[in-house]
Amino acid sequence: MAQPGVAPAGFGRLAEFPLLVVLLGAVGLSCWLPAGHAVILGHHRVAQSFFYSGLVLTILAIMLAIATRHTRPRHGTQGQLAALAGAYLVLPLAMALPMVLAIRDTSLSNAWFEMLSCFTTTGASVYEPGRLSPSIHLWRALCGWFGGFFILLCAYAVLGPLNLGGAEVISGRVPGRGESAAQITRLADPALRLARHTGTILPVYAGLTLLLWVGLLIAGEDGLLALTHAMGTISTSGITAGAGLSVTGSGWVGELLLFVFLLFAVTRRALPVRGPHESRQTIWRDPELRLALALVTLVVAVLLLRHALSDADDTDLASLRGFFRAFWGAMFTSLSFLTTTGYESAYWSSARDWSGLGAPGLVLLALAIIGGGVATTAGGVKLLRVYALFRHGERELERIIHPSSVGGRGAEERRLRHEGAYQAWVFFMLFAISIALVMAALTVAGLAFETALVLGIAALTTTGPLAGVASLDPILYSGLTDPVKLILGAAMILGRLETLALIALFAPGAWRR
Amino acid sequence: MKVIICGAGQVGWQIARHLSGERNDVTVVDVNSDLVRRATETLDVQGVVGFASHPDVLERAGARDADMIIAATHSDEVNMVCCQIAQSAFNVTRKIARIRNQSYLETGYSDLYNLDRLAIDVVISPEREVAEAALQRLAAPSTFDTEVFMGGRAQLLGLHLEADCPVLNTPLRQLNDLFPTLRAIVVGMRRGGRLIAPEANDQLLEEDDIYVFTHSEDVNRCLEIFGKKNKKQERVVIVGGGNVGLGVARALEARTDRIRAKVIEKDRETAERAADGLERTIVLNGDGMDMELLLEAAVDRADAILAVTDDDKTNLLVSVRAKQAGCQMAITLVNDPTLAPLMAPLDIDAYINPRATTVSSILRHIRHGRVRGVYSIGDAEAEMIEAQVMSTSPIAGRLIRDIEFPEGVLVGAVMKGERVMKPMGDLRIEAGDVVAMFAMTKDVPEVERLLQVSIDFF
Repeated sequence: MAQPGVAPAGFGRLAEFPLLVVLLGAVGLSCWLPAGHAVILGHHRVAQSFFYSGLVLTILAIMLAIATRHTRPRHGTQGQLAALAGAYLVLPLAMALPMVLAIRDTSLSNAWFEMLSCFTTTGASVYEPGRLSPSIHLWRALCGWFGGFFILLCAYAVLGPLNLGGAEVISGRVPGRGESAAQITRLADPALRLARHTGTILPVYAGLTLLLWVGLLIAGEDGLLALTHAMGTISTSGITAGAGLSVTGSGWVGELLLFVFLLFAVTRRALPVRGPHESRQTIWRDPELRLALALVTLVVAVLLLRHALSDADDTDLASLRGFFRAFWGAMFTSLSFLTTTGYESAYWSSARDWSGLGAPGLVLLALAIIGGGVATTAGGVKLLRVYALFRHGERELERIIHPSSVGGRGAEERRLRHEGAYQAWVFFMLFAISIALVMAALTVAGLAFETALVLGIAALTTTGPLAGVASLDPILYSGLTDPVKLILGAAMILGRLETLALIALFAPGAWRR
Repeated sequence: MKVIICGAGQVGWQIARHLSGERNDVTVVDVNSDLVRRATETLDVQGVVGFASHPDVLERAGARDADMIIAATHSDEVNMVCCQIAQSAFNVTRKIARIRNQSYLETGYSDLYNLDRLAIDVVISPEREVAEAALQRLAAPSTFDTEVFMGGRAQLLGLHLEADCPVLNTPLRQLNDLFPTLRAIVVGMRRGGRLIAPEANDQLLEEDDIYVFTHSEDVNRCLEIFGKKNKKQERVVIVGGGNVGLGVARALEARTDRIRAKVIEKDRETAERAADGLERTIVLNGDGMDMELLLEAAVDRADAILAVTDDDKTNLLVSVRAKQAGCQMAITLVNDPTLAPLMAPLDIDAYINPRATTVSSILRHIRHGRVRGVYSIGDAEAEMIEAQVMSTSPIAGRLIRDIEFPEGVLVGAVMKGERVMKPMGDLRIEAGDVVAMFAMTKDVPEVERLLQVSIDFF
């Protein structure tokens, strides 16, 4: 366009429009993918609803784009965070449009909850899998994938520079405020930054998904299921088109593939994109990866060793075969829930039987609270924060013995242990308070204590499938009332955006000292 | 030989003193005219005032016909450039630089120093030398001085004789008969503050300081004979976390016998740097003079305290405090050699003089002939010289008893091939052997003559 100055190219063009309008357009355009899919399958009604929804959304986006083209967006912390929060409020409604049209007897609240849970990469589903046509499953997976990309992009382009979403633990500075360098006269336009990061992250993100899809296809998975699982793994949404949570068709090889790709949700360094606050460590020395490894090992060891205490019938189970089934089942499932994805291994029941524990699902609940890596698609408290708290505790113990001792391992680590742990502790407390509040709200809305606990944590950590495994009897999302869905929806946004970001959005004055 | 010494500080001055005393043509260069004047007035040297790495200054100092340049200013970079210019512009044959910064010394980059790159023949690092000296002292806790010779096969031990020494009042001649298999020899003796090379009939008395040259395998036996026990050091407290302290702590960590070290450092930043560089060692931040901090480092149960801050008085006082609190042994870094007599009254077991160690290591490289090791004893009163005997030497092919050594010279050991032997009168010294000789300073030129020094080895 005839913009004075340097005309931005590629994704940079999009930087001229407000973020929300761009996102709306993207949702509109992506509606046509399931539309095409439905046409091929011969589901014309579904195809129609997706095609017309796409048309409506695209036209709406274009009109909005024309109308808002030359409005200068509000810069600064609030403007960026408001756009972010706005995306979570508006987009699920837009995504729900084809759902309402395509599924005959559904309410808007159900469709909205479904799409919000997809977009926040929670993956909680109110529908019976058999009730939805394959194209709608594709749409759910696509929205989850889109949501994963969106949060990844925001972590790099918005939250990172604003010292939020885990960056505050690394930098040790007050969250919600950007770099205050007096000598930098011009800060990069947030919109341009978004555009630039889209250019670097999208190819990697899409490429990895494609790679995993192809891998699963080779392993013998059904085409749509493979794509759903590939998207669900990369975005940690845990959305599946099949009946259960577990991976079927490709068997053990497929699980192994998913396991490897889950590592992208453990540490940001696994992604071949140079992110904020990158240090030149090798990936094997990455604290998040090591902590995740330790946690998974711990859970697996506890579950396997519990066997010795249990009075489980060991005529059949004690065989080597049973041991390996239990081992793999425990390992895959714990990593899957640690990264807040929520796929269950086909051998998880073996692990459960082997350990003799009635409800090892509670362990998964704890893993989901810890969460995946900072600046990845995973939710939860995040590994880096837990690591900072752990290091801080270790150092405090050392200081009991030697009060004037000096901690080693470099300045970066020292900052992480000190200021970083402080920020992590603030977040951890906020997270605990949000669990309490969400649970209180859910019990007021009429849920039993245990159900409220599981659902609250599932929503806050964006690990929807927890509801199915954490308690003894699976909790069904379809049986929930509308107020409960509303509360859970709010909790999902809170969990996805992180409390600190919302506080920075609503109470900016509190952070100005 | 014509030598230019850049930097007339403590190290430069000491080297100038040594070299000028041996009738070399020495020129001292320094920016500080006072230091240059002090050197020219007290020593037989010439002085040039100017920036040592500037070519015109070097030319004024006579770099065109100099045989050697020793760069010992306090800046690593000036020393490096100095050597490079001496090579490139004046083609000086031998270039020695003092380099402090650990990064320049790291083994990964050690091939930096050769003719094609940084033209430095010998790199001397005072901090590293001092750290090594400290480790040697720690290894032999009952000695007040040690140095390794002959590639680790022989050691010089400095021992203080006390009343419980079983061989008191025994003539040295008899020691040979009492312990015929002991490969050790008393090469020096300090009685009443005077250092002498002992005669065969001299007796050992209480309160003597003796220097024993011994085979490495016989060190423990030797210590036993002179009434010393060599016990293991397990807990070490290091005061001062600078390059020296950090170097020692690192070396202790690298050892297989798990020595538990604690480092005390006053400066927060230095302490953090030390903590970053160490794995297991605990670094405490605070004043080493603070009794509470010393107790936090468990100095009362420590086997040794190593005071290596840059301040002599702090080092002395910390050592005294630690000893008082119950520490077994104190090793102190002392820059000022005149403080050495204080060690006995303060009950400090050993001291390290960084200048002496640096000077020793520089001397090793500038001595004539095939001198392989020189260790300066006391306040430059004597030297232990390790050298290879050449075929042109007057001592080659002769029995030890037939060689006319000066009065102040004693042979400590002879190494034939890989074997270190005790020097008996009927041992024949052959070309290619390595001899270690104790020589009083006044006899050093005579020793050099015996080793047949000729200019063609430069």
